[in-house]
Parts: sequence; structure tokens; C-alpha cells
Amino acid sequence: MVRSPRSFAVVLIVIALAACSSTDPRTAPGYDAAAPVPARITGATVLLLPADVECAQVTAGGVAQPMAAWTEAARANVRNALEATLAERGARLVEYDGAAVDPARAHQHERVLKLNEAVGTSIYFMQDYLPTKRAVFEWSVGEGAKTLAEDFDADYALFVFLRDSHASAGLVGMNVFKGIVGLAFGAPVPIVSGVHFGFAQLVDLETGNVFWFNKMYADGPGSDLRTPGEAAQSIDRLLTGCPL
Amino acid sequence: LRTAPLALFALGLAACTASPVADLQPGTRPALDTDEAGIWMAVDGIEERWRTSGHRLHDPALDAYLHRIACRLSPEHCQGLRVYVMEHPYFNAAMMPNGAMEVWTGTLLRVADESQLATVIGHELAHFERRHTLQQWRSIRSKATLSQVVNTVGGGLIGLATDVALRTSVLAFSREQEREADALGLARLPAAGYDARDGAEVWQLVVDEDRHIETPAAAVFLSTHPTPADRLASLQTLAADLPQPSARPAEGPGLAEVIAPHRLAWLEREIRRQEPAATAWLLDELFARGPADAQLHFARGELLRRSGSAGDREGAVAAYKASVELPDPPTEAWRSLGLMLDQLGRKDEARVALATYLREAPDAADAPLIATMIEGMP
Repeated sequence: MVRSPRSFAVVLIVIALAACSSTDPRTAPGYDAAAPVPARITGATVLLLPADVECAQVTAGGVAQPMAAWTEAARANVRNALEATLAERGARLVEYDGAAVDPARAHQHERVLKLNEAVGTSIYFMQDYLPTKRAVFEWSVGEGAKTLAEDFDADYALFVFLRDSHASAGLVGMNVFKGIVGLAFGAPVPIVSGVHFGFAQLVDLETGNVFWFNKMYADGPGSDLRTPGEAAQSIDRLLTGCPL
Repeated sequence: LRTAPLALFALGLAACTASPVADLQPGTRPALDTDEAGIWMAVDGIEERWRTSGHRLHDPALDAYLHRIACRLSPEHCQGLRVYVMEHPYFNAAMMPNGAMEVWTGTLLRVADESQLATVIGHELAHFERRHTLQQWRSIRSKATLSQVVNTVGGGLIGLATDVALRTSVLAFSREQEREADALGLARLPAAGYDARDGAEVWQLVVDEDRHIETPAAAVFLSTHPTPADRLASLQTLAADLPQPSARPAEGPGLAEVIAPHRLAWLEREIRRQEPAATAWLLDELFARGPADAQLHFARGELLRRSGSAGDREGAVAAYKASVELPDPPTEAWRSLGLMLDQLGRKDEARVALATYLREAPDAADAPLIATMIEGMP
């Protein structure tokens, strides 16, 4: 029964259905799907904030197990891909280094960085649901952003958030098992894994306003952050429409 | 459907044969390719949020004091421990598997002495050394797998019953870990120079306070922790068999000294948590411990003033008066006294009290407002 062609077909269909990817770029001040991509920002200095990247393995029970070695590789890949892509586009990059500044200033930066991530997460989840935000793309991290502009002599800050999950061998087995049982008794829903999602956010450090934002969701092949090549593809997709 | 018991049995066996977890080796980080390294990575992120949290109290002397107690209790892990004090007016502390510990200011306000504090810290250290998070994580992981199998094959009521059974077993495992941490932590006290009999009494505080809390606690089988009364009883039993404490070297300041700069702010925060019966109990408890104290009288006045009942106004005035007659009263006691007297129509006394406030705190943000009030008084 395990080798039945029918069950393989079911599993394949499940995988095929699951595989898709999308990006959704937004630009301040007014969001209009038909609006052209804004002109490239030339000559600006961009502060690259520490990316928030985590990789997990989804176990047979559907538990997301954080994976340190994968995450370490993914963080390096994302950073390299960001540097390479932005260098190619001619942006001047400065990397955020909290250790290099005065502790009192670093404390102020930490607050801005946390707010920046909270704003990005809010945009990711709420932009299309909040009645006051749906029509116009208008978000800001406030004037605290100026401290970053002053201390790093930068015009914009770019922040990237990415989550990456992969099926364990146990989960692959569990989903095959669910597919087989589904043929016999009904249709148990497979556990989704191999999901890659996140966002990129460009903040104008003079005003603190979010100048450009893009979110990405992919659950097919080709977005594995653990490999340098696919991480580069992910970053390329994430920076779709980025004016840098 | 007939395969369900078989699958249950097979997975049950797999869970039973899971290898036991050894104690954490001091000074080591888990190898990068392990599940434990993943957990540490995740909690490193949480620790970073603790470090930069707006709730964090930045007082190096207090951090050093707590770290010193932790090091006495666990000299071998001393280098791997970090303490964060968080401003929350409740009795609590928490430990993360990477060696980061948070202690809430409500705990520091409540404990009667250092041995009670050492009982709390020792409990948290035991979680860390026994790698309880890792154990719980692995247990949840295997139970989740079992739940998936049963739900796929059985579904319906069988699936639901299994889910309930597994979820209760996760909580039962958590309570078992708490009991283990209580016992291991307490056993560390004598060698660190603390009397375990005194330390165990920290749970008497929790038992007493719970009697005055308005929101009832959840049933014990739905809880991650045993009941405070159970914990008190078992710790008292364990303490009776522990040796007398060894001599403790006098190093650094004591509990009263390190919390002194913060105590007034913590008392005010305690009042703002809006559990007046519990706060009244706590103030009685603190009064009973030592000589009269201007801060405690002030806090009692504030609590009575907020009750909103007319009968408590006279009590508040009496408490504020008791406060300002003692050495080092909070300057706010003069202001509160003046405002309360004003409400009671005792304008002459009110004017004197408010004028004293202005003299004591000329640069206070509300000084101009109070000055205007005095001018408007008949």
C-alpha cells in the first residue's frame, strides 16, 4: 500500500499546490498598485541594520525546532547577498555596529532598532487590515531615527527580517503517512513546512518615515537561505522595486 | 482505526527510551548542530530583549549583589550566569537555559532576608543546571508527534482525548520539574551559608498573599507549577533534614542596603497594581518586620487615599502624619497630607503641609500648581 502510485500522486499534488511565492512592494507616501517604481536613490548612504534571520526545522509533530547551525549559515548568506546586491546597484553601505558607539548612544539606537522591527512587523501583518492604513502607506519610526543618521552619517536604513523553515525527514514521512490515510479514510491536512517569508524595510533617517517596504512569501524550492545561491535569489526577490 | 493503539504503543515506547539528559557542564555552549544550540540561539534573542527592555532596572550594585548570591549557590556556573532585574510589582523570577536570569522587583520588595532570596535564586539555578528547558522541549516534541499520528489515524474523540491527555502530561512534567528545582535549589543553601529553614519560609509569603488576591488561580492540573501551599509544605520537610548553614563571608552590602534606593518607587508601583487587599497585607507584613518606617507609613496613606471611601481619609491623614514625623519621609508625603487635609476642609493644616512640600521639593514638576493652590486657599 505504501508503494501505491495513487498515494504518490496525492503527495505530489499536495506539494505542487503548496509551492508558490509572492512579493508585495509598497512605497510611501501613497500606495497605488499602478504607481511606477520610484526613481532610484543615487548617491545616498545606506545603513545596513543587523538582519533578523532564523531557520527552523519542522518536526513530524509540527513543532518548529530552531536550528543554530542553519541560522548561522543563513545569516552570513543574507548579509553577503545584501552587500553584493546593493553594491551592484551602486549604493554606499555602512554596517551598523553598536559596539563602535558610545554606550549611551547605543542605548538610544537599541530603542530605535526595536521600534523599527515592531513597525515592520506591524506593516507585514496589519497594512491590509487596518482601515486607516489600507488606502495609504504611511508608517514611521519617528525622529529617533536621526540618532542613527548622525552617528553613522547615513541617509537611509535598510532592515531585513526573514524566517526559513524546512521539513525534517520525520515530517516528510508523516505527510506521506497522512496522504495514505487520507486516501483510505478522508483527507488529513498535511503539515506545511519549507516556508520562507519576511520583509525588507527602507527608512528615511531624516524623518523616520518608512520610505519603501516589501514582503515576501515563498514555499517552493529556490528560497533556501542556507545555500548562498538561493539566499541571493531570495534577497533579489525581496528587494524587488527597492529604489536603491 | 485499529492501527491507532499500535501506533500509540510504538510511539509510547520511543518516548520512554529517550535518553536521560545529563546536567549542564559549566562553561560550555552546546554544539552548533544540536537541538539545544537551537534553543540557546532562540533564547539569546530573548536575553537581548531583556537587556534592552524598558522594564529593566539599571543598577549595577543590585545586579552584582544578585550575581554574588547566585555564585555562592553555584560556584561552578558563576561565570556563565547573568542577572537582569525587571520592574514588575509581582513575586517572580525566571531562568533561561543559556544562563540568563530575571528577577522581578516585586520579589526583592517581598523577601524578608537573603536566605529567602537565595531560595528563589537557587530554584532558578536548578532549572538551568538540570537543563529543564531542553528536557521539556524534547518531551513536547515527541508528544506532538504522537498527537499527529493519533489524530491522523483516529481523529474525532480518540484524537481529542489523546490531545487532552498529552497536554495535561506536558503540564504534569512541568510541575515535576518545579518540584525538582525546589528541592535541588534548597539543598544548595547550607553550603552557601544560608539557613534552609529560613529560606523555605519564602513560600509562606506567597501562600499568605494568594489569600488576598482577587483573581482566583487556575485549577492545579491546569497549572505549570505546584500550588504554593504544597511547595511550602515539601520545602519545610526537606529543610528539616538539611544541615546547619556554614559560615558566610561578609562581602558587599546586604539586602536592605541594595534595595534602599528603589524601595519607595517599588512601594508606589505595588500600590498601582490595583490589588488593594494584597497590598494592605504586604504593608502589614513589612511593618511587622521592623521598626516604624516613614516610607511604609506613606505607602499605607497612599493605599487608603486611593480606596475612595470617606472613612479611609482620616486613616490616610494619620498615616501621612506618622510618615512625616519619622526621619527621611518621602517629600510626597507632605503633598499627599496637604491634599487630603484640603479635601477634609482642614484648610489651615493643609496650607502648612503644602508649604512644607514646596520647601522640601522646590524644583518638583508640580511645584507651580501647588503654589497656585495655596494662594487660592481662604
